[in-house]
Amino acid sequence: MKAIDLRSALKSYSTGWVAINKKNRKVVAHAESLELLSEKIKGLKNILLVPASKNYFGFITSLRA
Amino acid sequence: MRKYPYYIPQSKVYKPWIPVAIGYKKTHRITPAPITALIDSGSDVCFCSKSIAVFLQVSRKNKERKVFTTANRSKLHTFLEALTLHVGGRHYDCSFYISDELPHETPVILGQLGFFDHHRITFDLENKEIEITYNLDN
Repeated sequence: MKAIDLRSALKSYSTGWVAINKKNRKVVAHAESLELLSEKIKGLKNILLVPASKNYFGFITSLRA
Repeated sequence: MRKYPYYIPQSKVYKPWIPVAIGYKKTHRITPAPITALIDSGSDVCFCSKSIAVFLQVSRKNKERKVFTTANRSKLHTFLEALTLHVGGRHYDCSFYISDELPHETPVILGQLGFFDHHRITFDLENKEIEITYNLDN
């Protein structure tokens, strides 16, 4: 299976949320909050929401109570 | 059984993300579109960012509080609420620990309780795919 390459879509954004068209992987909207983004994407289909960040690497979880 | 592709958010970084929607019964709100969620076997529970909780209009009043310890020993302050997890064409009630201290790039973390106990998951990075089977017994 081919991985979904979002590098091009995400490279211009470092904060907030990005709405990406799942078919062509292009950004259709960006906003700092989900509330604002939801207004911008109203009526649009085939959308994926991705948090924008400068860096997605070097992340360790392992969270315990 | 469904197969999901890995995501590449930046060069040489492969993420086991899956698209999920999260809803809240009390307010009848649901995220406006699927959001990328990290499948994380190292997390004991499921986490959700406060930004999503704010959108769903989840109040932290009178909710159970819990403090988690991260891998670098920092503290993660959370409160607990039952949300509806929509994944793979199904949905079910799932307890989420909500925090505004989650890294922004991982607004949803699917951990052992709430996700791994409902699914059988196979990570295949070589083929860039994740195989997820919903466990009907749960």
